Parts: sequence; structure tokens; C-alpha cells
Amino acid sequence: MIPVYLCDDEPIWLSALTDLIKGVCSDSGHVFEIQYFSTNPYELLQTLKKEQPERAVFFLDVELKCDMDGIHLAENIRRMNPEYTIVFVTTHSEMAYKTFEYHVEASDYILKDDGNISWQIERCLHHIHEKEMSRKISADNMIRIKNNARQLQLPIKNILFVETIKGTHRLRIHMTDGIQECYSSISDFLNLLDDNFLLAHKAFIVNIRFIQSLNTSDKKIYFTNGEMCPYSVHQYGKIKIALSI
Amino acid sequence: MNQKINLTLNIRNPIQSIDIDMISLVRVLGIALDNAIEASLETPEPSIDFAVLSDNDSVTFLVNNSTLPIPFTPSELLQKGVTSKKEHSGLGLASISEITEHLPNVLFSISCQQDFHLELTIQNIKKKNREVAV
Repeated sequence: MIPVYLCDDEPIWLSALTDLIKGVCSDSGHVFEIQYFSTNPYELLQTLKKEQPERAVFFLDVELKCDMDGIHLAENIRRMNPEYTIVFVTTHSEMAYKTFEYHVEASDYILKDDGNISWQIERCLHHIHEKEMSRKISADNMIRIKNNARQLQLPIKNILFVETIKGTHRLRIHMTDGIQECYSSISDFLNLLDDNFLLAHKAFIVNIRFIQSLNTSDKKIYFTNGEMCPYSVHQYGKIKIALSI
Repeated sequence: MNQKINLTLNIRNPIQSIDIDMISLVRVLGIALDNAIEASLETPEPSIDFAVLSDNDSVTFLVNNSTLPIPFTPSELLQKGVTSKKEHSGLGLASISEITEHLPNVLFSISCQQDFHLELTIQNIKKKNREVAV
């Protein structure tokens, strides 16, 4: 069972959401179970610290009438465990918080003023369920890095290559859908990755699954999406073996 | 320009200190917002979310904007001369990355999914040194 925690400052909403989630769970046989609900974010955090579940799902109201709002609460929850799933319960007018939802990596949101809440919850739990299942299959497919106040989770399979930013302790991670910078050294970072990654150059880590070709005249590795990075001649043999060419 | 963009601005707490020279910051944010305005205006429902988060360790600027599908890879976007717009130098994101490369306490990230998302995190240097000293 995956425990579900709720926080909403309005008791009416809190009980309505609790009932709806219970209803959806019993109808569809989902693996979720209401563990705790509160109108007070501090109490929720205290309970969470005590229980420290391995996995958990949170439904958080964005506008809590408290000095800690839903976004801040989500940040605190993230700090305790980056694996937790966070869903914001919000209204159309509060959608201004979209950037923060991205920031705390909320997986979904429920709109209070969008009619069919039961359906929204069902869809949302379904997604979380699927995500949990796929996580089990490919046990550890995320890389967790700390970027100042924020814990980042990147899917390892989306990393094309990683380069050092010259003269600093920063890395630039090139992914299929973005670029992320973080503080780390190339060797520390390589240790976090799986066997598909190797050092192609003292300043570059490459994902062999994305390598399209190796150009010996310009000493560059070409990736399937057209991007490229240099390799060092010392690593040439190793790369060839990894690519079995 | 009389087109409308749905803009939201969120600054959650006062910024106590920020360790970046103002010229770099204004240049970077100017480019980021110009890009966001241009890209969002091409979409049926232009929208930009701009947010600033700060704590004792760092200040983070977040820009999220609606965009048409981007015909470039993320790395291409950071290269000089790459742009999806006609009559445009395409120096925008390349300039940001050039500026931030020289600033060791700044992290610059982009993500191109349904929206275009840009983050600039400026670490508080004094705090960092204190931590190292401990």
C-alpha cells in the first residue's frame, strides 16, 4: 500500500477530497490508502518525520491560510525524500503557481473549480500507479543531484552527454529535452551513472546508447540527435569496444 | 504591439542578498524575457510565468513560457546563430550561457517540453564560503 497524505486549510475540502480518494481507491483497486490528513502543514510535516514512509503521495492545497503555503510545504516534503509524489490541489485563478509546481517537481494538479474532481483524482492516481509500476521495473533509473536549495531528479536514459564548464566545479548535463547545470566533478558524476556511460574525454561523459558515429578525422562523437562532443585518442579503444565496432 | 500575453509574476519572499553584478543579471534576464515574449506570442494562448525564489543560500529566477514546438535540440539552442525566427541574430540563449559560464556561482538550465522553461540559480557566495570553512 502506498500511503496518501492530504493538507487543505478548509475542513470541507479536506473531507471531500478524502472521501473522493477513498472512493476512487476502492472502486479501482488502486494500491493507495489514506494515511493522514490535516488542515495544518506543520502537523503534516511532524507526522511525516515520525512515519518516514518509503513512498508516499501528497495532495496539497496551494493556498493554505498559514505562514507556510502549499508550495513551501512541498519544498519541505521534497527535502525529506525526493521520491515522494506531490499533487497540488488548486483553482484556475491560482494557476499562477505553475512555475513553482515545476520547481518542486509536482507530478500533477487537481483543479477544485473544474467540475469533475472525482475523475481528475482517478486519472491522477492512475498515472501515479503506472509511474510506481515502471519505477519497480527499472529500479533505479533516476539520477539525483543537488542544485542549491533544490533536489533534481533526472531520468538517466535522457542524458546524452555531460561536460565540464571550464575552470569551475560545474557540469552541464545535455539531455534530450533540456540542459541542466549542477555543481559536481566529472568523476563524481560518472560514479552515479550506469554502464552505458563512459569517459570519452577528461571533460566529457557520453551515453553510448545515443552515439551515432565516431569521426576519426575531427575526433568527435556524433549523437543520434545531431549533437556532438569531442573524444580523446586515449579513450578511442575503450569507446570502440563499448560500441562493439 | 497590441497582442496580449497572460503574465504572472511571483516573488515569494524578499531577496536578502544576491551575488551577481547587476549588468550581467539585467542582460541575462532581459534576454530571457525577450525570448519568452517572442516565443509566447507565436502561440494561440501566449503566457509567461516569471518567478523569483530566494532563501539563505541562493536566489532562483524561473521563466516559463508557452511555445510552438522548438525545431532545435537543447544544445543547438545554446549555440550562436541558432534561432527559429526570421531576421533574428539568434544570439539570445548563447549569450546567456556565455555570460553565466564566467560566473562560477551561477547555474543556468533550460528545459523544452510542452512549455519552454528557463532557470537561473545564483548561489550566495558568502554563505558558500562559510560552509566550506566549517
